[in-house]
Amino acid sequence: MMLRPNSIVAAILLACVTWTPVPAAAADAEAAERFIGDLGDRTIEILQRPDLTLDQATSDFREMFSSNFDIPTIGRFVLGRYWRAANTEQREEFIELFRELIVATYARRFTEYKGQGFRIDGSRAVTERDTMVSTAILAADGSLIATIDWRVRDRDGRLKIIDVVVEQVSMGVTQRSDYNAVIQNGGGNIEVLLEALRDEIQTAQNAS
Amino acid sequence: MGWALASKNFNKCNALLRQHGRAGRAGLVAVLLTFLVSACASSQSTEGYEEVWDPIEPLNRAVFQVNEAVDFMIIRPISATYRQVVPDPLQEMVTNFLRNLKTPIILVNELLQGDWEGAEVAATRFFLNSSLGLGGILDIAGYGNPDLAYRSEDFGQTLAVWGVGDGPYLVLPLLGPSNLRDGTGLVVDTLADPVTYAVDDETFDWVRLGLTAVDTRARLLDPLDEIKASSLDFYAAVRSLYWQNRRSEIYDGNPPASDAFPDFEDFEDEDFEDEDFEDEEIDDSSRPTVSAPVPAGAFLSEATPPVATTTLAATNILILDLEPLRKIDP
Repeated sequence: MMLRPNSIVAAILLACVTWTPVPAAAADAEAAERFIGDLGDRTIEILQRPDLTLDQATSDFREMFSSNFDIPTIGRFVLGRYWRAANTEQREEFIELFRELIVATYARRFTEYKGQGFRIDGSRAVTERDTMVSTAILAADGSLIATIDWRVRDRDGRLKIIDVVVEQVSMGVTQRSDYNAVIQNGGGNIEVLLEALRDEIQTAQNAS
Repeated sequence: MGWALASKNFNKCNALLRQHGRAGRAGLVAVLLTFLVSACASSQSTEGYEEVWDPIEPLNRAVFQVNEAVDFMIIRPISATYRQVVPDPLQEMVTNFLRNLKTPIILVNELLQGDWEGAEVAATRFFLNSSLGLGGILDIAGYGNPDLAYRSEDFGQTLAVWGVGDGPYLVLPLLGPSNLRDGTGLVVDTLADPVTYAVDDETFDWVRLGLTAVDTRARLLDPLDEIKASSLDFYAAVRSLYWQNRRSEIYDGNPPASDAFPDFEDFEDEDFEDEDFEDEEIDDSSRPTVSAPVPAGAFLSEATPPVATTTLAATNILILDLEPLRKIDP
């Protein structure tokens, strides 16, 4: 009987601790980590299919890429200051070509799976809406191949990847430099980039 | 021919050292530093996002092409063969051994950067690996102990920590991507490397140089093939990678989020309809500059091209060494 009040106090304390609202940032980080984890698990499931053909891999990759990456935002970033100079048709075509080039370049990897796995190493808020989720890509024997950070943006509750950072090198920043150089060397003409992208897609498709 | 040139310079360098001794060396370093600091002071970033400042791009591109040719004909084939023929454990020992040789100059740079913790790591590594690690072929210190993992420092990074900006982007013959600050750092590291003086043997220097080139290039085979395949303008992609990689190194794997990952603007549907808004001409002459001056306070980090001998080391893209970045511990 004497213990009872203590138990109540303990219960209340426990409840308080348990019910303390989790800071918003922490909740977001958790969601972002789960998002990347699920995406990785689903991708590996696809990769493990022994009968995966290049055609299938291409369509699976396109689907995964389109629904989990914010391609228009990435494309706009990558075009950099030339985005403003581009007209509507050029912007649309650029984003289309950009997506197809990524698909053509990386789909082949889907058919070269050798048992690699990944590990979520944590996450940190970058801006109010962006969370960087750190992962380690592991070889089948568990050794580290590379670290990859995924920049995940929360747009009205919908999570999408807007940048992939491999060993501290941002794909978005690199592509922007690359593409801007093509436009600059083409005399500032965006059509030159579009043409180069078409060629590159062709090359990537023929290579497979 | 490239190698012949490199060797000539190397010999000259050695000769110079022997002639001038310690005082001469210090004087040379001082002159270089003065030049560097004043040259870099003038670089600034302009509006918009950062881009690498590359005022002599045509010349850089020409050197880049020559490097690529030399790489394709000589360095890459040797490195690819090395990777294929030499057993993995032996390759690892070579890497460990070369890193151990770099450790004294890394220690010096940690001290110059005021990174006492890093200096302690370097010192511990050097003593453990040189003794128990059988002269450095085993990484006893770093094995299973991330706190004592290898981290590279060089004088370019030290200068950055001191507040020196990148200066203009440079593609060095044989050595590949650099900039005025890092190129100067490379010279200083090479001239100051304690190991070169301790050993004082030219053959040793040459073997070290050759091994460093092959070791570095072999580890870059896949990343570089990858980058080449996935870029439209290889030169521009490498330039950006070098810059990002160095930033990461200068900040010891933790570059400030704000500028390392510039803000991505949201894409909105109106983006397809707002073409009426300023179709302003883009004036290519006003290409944004870059070179983010690194605030002092940024710290230590990984290095790059080794020292001494190493200097001349590897290839084309030597400095792109991605590996340092692995040390991103939180």
